[in-house]
Amino acid sequence: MTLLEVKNLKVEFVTVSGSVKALDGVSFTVNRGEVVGVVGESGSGKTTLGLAILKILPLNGRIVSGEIIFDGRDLVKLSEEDMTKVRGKEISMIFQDPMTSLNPTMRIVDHVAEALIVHYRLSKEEAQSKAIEALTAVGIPENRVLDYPHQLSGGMRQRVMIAISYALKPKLLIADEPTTALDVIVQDQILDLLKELRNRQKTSILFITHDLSVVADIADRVIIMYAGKIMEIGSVEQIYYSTLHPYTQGLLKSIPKIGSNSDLYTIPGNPPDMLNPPPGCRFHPRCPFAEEKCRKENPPLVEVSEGHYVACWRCVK
Amino acid sequence: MSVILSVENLKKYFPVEQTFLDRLLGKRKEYVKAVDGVSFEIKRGETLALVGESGCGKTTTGRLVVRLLKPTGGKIVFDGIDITFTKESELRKWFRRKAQIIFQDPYASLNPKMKIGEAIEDPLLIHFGDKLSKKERKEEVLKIMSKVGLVPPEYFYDRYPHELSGGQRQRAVIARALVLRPEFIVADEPTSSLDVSIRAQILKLLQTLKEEFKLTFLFITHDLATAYYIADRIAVMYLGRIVEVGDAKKVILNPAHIYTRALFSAVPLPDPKLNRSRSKIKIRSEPPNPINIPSGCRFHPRCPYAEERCRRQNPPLIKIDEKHFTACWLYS
Amino acid sequence: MESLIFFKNFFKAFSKVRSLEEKMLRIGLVLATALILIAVLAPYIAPYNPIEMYIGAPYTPPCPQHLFGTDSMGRDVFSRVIYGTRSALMVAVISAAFAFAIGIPLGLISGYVGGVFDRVVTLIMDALYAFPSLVMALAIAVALNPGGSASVFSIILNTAIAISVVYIPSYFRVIRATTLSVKENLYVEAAKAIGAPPFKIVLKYIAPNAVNPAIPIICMNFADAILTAAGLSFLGIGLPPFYPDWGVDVSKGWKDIPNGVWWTSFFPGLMIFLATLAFMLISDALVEYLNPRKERLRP
Repeated sequence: MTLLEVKNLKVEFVTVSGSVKALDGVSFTVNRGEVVGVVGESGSGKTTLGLAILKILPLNGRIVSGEIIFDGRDLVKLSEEDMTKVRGKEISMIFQDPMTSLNPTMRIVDHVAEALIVHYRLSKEEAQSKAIEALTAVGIPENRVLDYPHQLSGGMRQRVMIAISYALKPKLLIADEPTTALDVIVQDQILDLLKELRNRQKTSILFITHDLSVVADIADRVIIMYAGKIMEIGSVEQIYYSTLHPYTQGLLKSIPKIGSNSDLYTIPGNPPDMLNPPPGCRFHPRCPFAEEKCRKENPPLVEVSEGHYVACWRCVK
Repeated sequence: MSVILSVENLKKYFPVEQTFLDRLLGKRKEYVKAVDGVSFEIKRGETLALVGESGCGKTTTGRLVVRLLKPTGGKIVFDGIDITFTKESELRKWFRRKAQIIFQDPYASLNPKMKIGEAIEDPLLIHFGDKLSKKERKEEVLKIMSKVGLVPPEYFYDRYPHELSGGQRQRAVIARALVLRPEFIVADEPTSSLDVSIRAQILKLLQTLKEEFKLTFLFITHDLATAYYIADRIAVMYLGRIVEVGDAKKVILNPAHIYTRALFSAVPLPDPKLNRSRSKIKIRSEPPNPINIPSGCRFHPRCPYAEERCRRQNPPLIKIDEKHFTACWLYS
Repeated sequence: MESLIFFKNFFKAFSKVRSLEEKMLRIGLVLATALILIAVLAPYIAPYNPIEMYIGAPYTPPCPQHLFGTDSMGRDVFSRVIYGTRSALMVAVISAAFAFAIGIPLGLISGYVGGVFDRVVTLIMDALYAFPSLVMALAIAVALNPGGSASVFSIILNTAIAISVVYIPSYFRVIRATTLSVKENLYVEAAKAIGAPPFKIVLKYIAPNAVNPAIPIICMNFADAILTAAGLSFLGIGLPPFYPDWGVDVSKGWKDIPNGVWWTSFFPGLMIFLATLAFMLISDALVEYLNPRKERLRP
């Protein structure tokens, strides 16, 4: 069942040097209880996507057109007042650096309790006990709940953020690089925690990352983004074992693999300058298969097999 | 092969800032034992990868061996010369020409007010300012720029760092490190702040340059797969000590230390099926504070196999075979 | 062509968010440019010789021949005010140059070297900073010119030095603070790794990245210099009475106010106010403008 449907979303930023189309016609769906990985490099628009869904874009950014249908409502048309009710309670977000969302002068238990009081109008005592419950559920020992954020490690802070989501029971959690700043062992713990959250509460997760290995571990479906456009969508199996888009293929071949002695493939060139994106297919200057058509026309995102969408002229018959 | 760098029982303790109140109350001065007795050797032409999580002391070790930091104790011998406590003015005379460092963040490692060409030329100006003419220096800079893939070099010569992408900046940083034709390079996570598609480019570039310039690398990384790809030997660090060292293939494919194995099973692989099927050693806790280091084996509070001996006695590096050592009592 | 598009976009981006500091900066810049033009073109603007007496009848009120009226000696106030811009700006520029030339290197060295040297210098600077500026300038001006018989230029120079001494700590403090943060940058460590000697690290790697915050201080220094110079002249230890200077004129003219002669002190006073305002506005705007923490329209 579809929880979130993004249709032809376009987001633009105005900068000193010109306007940037950070998202240029992005469409995808997220089902209930599903983990969807959004993979992209810097400038791909993956972070903008998360901010746009919650309508918390920076001042110089705006949604130009498109629809974000969440649970039957179009968030693009929703007033700011109604959006505040959606944020946190129905869609919550965690970031790479939890310190940016935690108030350094507030005890961690109060962060969770405060969210519960705001969204569910609980009494202070109720909120406190529920907050402690949520914090222990995400693996924070009870004797630490009165700590301040700076007394915790990065992993613990990320757990606090997840505890807020755990307590508010949102339908969708947007996780923007939640483990990038963490060490592998802690990353593994956080990934397990997110999987548990999904299994227990049926929370859908939009997992935004640059790391193809993390996505292979956590996601059910994967969206590959490049320069503000979607290149490929598919189940993890489709993406990793029947890769179609040359960009995805290149990415997978350019990661060093343990136990493999084959030489690394390198995608030539650099990610595009988003002020002057290349015409036609955005990936064509770096694509080994680029043809005349790729340079001129932008390929549409087409379904090549069930649930497997690719934007590449090689896959259009 | 001759040994280019040998490190013996290297230590670096950072004093913890004391507040006025602490001093008034006569609190004992505390130290962060970032590096606490590290020994290793690197042979000429070899790449040794130093692997570990943040706070394990790998970066401090890297800065110590190129003497950007002053060791608290131990011994660093470079090319047969003891440089452990050598003065900076003496190091400038020869050592700084032979050993270089590449940092993780290419955005912060270039002076924003210097053109790329100037930045790469500066080492030449410092060491050969009187011997090489301006024209010769520029030629040399352009040559090294095309070697690292900043082509056309004439174009990049007059660019400022902010005009370059992350990958291009890292190439410029590599060029600056190589322009003096050093013998030894510490590469401190040179790819981890770059985009995935750029990482492979830089890794391959370092491999090529290593062959061409006959370089020796100390490659610091948190990524086991990268270490496996680039290194001849791997040393795994935990809380300021090396817990396992050996041939890259052996350490990665047959990890001995429980910590290495746990680290290994925590690394997600770019393969969904393998991720689900493999067996894992899970550690539930987080690393302890390097101010209060556990007694005995540093890893024992987190180790599922810890015994009485581990709590009391610190294990030395025990030989598993000719090319593989680990500091774990399980192998004694 | 490309630069044209850049400028177009630049203005487009900024016209949408015309902030207060931008307006401040514009007003300040217009005023300051006007002042500089007046100083340079004084002989062409001023209708009379500013020190020639009895050009008109003493105490002529403002009229078409004498826009700002005349003073007790029948000198043209308008011409005096115009010429007064010169000494004011001269004091300002010289004092800023001195303070800049001493405060900045000292701040750089102190911040980079650290340790005991840093502590001693900081202590001296703090002591200087805590001293009331006019009193300090007064003491130095008297010390440099004990007989009060020096030439006009050396009086201007002395006044400027006196003011610059007061301003050195301001430059020092700001530059020392930024040096402390700039020297933590990786590129400084990289400079050490390529074997750059300390003076080169400071000169080539730290200084270019540390001087920005001093720019607003120059403007503040300008404003304060004009004010302090006027104050010194007002107290009678600045320039000689005949010399066209705003401070001198205010100090002579304010005694006439009870007799209904307001113009001899009002116009030079107004100029002091405008000049101070101009540089203050620029300084305040630049502080905001150069504030690195403020994100400026980035995606």
